[in-house]
Amino acid sequence: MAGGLVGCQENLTTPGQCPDLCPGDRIVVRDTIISAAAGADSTYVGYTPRAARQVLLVSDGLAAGEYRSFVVFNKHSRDSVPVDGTNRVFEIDTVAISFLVEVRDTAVKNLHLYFYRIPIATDTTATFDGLESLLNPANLLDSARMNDTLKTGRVEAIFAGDRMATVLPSAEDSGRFGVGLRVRADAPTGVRIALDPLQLGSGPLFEYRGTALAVADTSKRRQRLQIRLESVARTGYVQNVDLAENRDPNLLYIGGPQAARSLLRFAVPAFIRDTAQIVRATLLLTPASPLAGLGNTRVRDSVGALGVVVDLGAKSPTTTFGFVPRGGLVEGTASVASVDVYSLVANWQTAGGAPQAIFLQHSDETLGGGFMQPVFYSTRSPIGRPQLRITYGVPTKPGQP
Amino acid sequence: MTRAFVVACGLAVLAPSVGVGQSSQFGVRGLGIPIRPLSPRAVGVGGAFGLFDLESSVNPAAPGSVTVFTSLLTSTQNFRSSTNPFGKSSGRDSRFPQILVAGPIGGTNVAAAISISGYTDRSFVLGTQDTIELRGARVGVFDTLSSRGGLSDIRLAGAWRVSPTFHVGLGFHAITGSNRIQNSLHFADSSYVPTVEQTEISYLGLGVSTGFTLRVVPRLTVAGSYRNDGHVNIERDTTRIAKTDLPTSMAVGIRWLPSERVMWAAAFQRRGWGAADRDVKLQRGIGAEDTYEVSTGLELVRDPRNPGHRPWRFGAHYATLPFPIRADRQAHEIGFSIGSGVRFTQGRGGVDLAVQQVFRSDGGGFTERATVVTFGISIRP
Repeated sequence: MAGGLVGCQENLTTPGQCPDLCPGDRIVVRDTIISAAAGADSTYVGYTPRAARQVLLVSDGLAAGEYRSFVVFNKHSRDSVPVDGTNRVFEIDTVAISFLVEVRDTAVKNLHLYFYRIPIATDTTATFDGLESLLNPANLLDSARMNDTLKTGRVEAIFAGDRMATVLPSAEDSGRFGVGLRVRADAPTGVRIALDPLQLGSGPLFEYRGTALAVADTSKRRQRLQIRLESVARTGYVQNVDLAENRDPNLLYIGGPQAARSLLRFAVPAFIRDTAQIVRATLLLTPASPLAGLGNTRVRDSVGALGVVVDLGAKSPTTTFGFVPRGGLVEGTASVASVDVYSLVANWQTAGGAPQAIFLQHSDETLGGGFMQPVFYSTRSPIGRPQLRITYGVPTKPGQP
Repeated sequence: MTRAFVVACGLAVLAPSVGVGQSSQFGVRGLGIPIRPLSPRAVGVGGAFGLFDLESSVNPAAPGSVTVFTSLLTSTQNFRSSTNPFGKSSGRDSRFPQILVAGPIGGTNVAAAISISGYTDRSFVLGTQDTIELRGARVGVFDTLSSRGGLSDIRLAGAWRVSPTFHVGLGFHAITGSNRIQNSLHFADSSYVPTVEQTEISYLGLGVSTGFTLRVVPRLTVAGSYRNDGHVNIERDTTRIAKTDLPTSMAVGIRWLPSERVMWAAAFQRRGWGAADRDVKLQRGIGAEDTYEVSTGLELVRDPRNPGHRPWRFGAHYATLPFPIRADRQAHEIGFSIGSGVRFTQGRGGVDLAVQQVFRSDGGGFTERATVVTFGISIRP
């Protein structure tokens, strides 16, 4: 009896070859393609304000467009530095300005970041032409080279001796200091620079290095004074290309400086929605032109698909919790982008489930933008309309004798 | 009898959790593989004592011999090796196929018994590997069809001791149970999510049985029973989908005691499972066929004053099976068994053990060998 009670683990498997041995039918798997609901797809913009950007973009000669960036370091006093809780007189001998390059084209060599002094009044209302006019040889502070072997790393310009005077903020500016950025390399390229809004240490730095006077402990005499950015309103990037600015209503846009999103709607047939077991669902998007961006990066551009809780058009709340399905975008090509949207489509099958709508966004939207501004054909396009490819199992109602 | 009633009610409450029988590839079709409602003692002699055994549920007259309240709980362990044209596999499962309480009704010549027995078992898992074309590529798939459950027979039997040598009995049967069936398809390519379809088939039917035991001469007893199970209604997920006729059954047996220490019995049973043929085919099954079973066995008693203590039991049976895996290939099984038991506390408690070696075949490549260990505890407080 004890054996019977504890030995309840079962192994009932018998080799079979359906339908010879199996009662009932095998699950038949079918594949179908459903076009997005005609005329029900649109592009909306403005999902990330300029002040919320978390990155700086700088480019030179990229097909995706020209990008320039600017920052203004906060007001400060450089006369003293705290040592063991006591302010000591600080004798500066070096100034360092540095930026952390997060993403670069690793195939492009001899990458240089150029630093220009710009007015501290520069803010997010700046235009590309306005900033470009400031980045001239007269305002050039220095340039710094990024090692060709690095995929990411801090690029630093050092000012010492006589050169230090060029980067010392004036008293009228209360210590504020504006820097504009340009990039150059052996080939057209771009970089993405961290802004670090959470102040975790990866943001731009304006750093004084020198000696604290009247400190008995000689190991503590050498000190650094780090100045961070003033505010999000005085940092950012500007560009000369914004595909969504005068957009074609027959195309769908995502990403870009305006953080564009596109909404697609579908009408999955009732026999699939109500009874079929969906095993795979793929959203197919055809680029209207080759996808221009930054190649050979450690982080690829991708298109994200978000479900919506309620279909309210542009202001539809999205199901942003959890995993966001993404599909790769191949820079320099117009190859069809595939997004695995099984989790979204499966949710359409539940009673009272989400509306049959998908919001498309660029993966860089949360960062405040990227170089690539994908444009896809819409349902109004003669070719390449958005499609949903659904693979599903036909129910068999098992239980035959 | 009051105690018997209380225990019986308890057992009835437990009924849904009572597993039945043993899994087999020959239980894939129809309603599954039939289960013999036998005690370990009856199993040990090949089933031949079933018509005379008050702890079995074959003959409603058998409880007529009960003199004190008796209860029985059995467990089986089934170790199986199945071979068919598609491969070979081993499996195991455990069940509780026979639970019974019986006792005399004080001041009368009547005894009653309530039992829960296995009726059919349809527990199996069939696995198939294949490739299918999806999105322009061949994708490996693994089909799994599984079923767990079967039918149970809840019997209320009353036996009347017409005379010390002649007992008759009447039984009412509720045949109920369910199959939890799962059909799943897994893909070798992880881009595809497995598809799983589940359903529950539930059954309910009523039957009646009658029987007798007659001691012809002091050392010779004959017994017989007749049973009509009517039909069973079938629901899929609470929706009535079909009904299936169940068999009428007839069994006769003879028991002979050539000496105080030797008991021999033989039995024949015929079950009209063919009655289900039309209904099974209407439900897209292969069909059903009538079955018969012959069994014989011997019990060698060491102590005639305590016959249940350390006897040796031997038996064999041959039976045909009702639901063919393939059309026109009725399967059969041959079983050989051995068993024994001990009694303690002046016969108030006892345990019995039987081991069967069963061979099944349909004569067309589907074969099976199973070792079934049946263990029972009986209590007579």
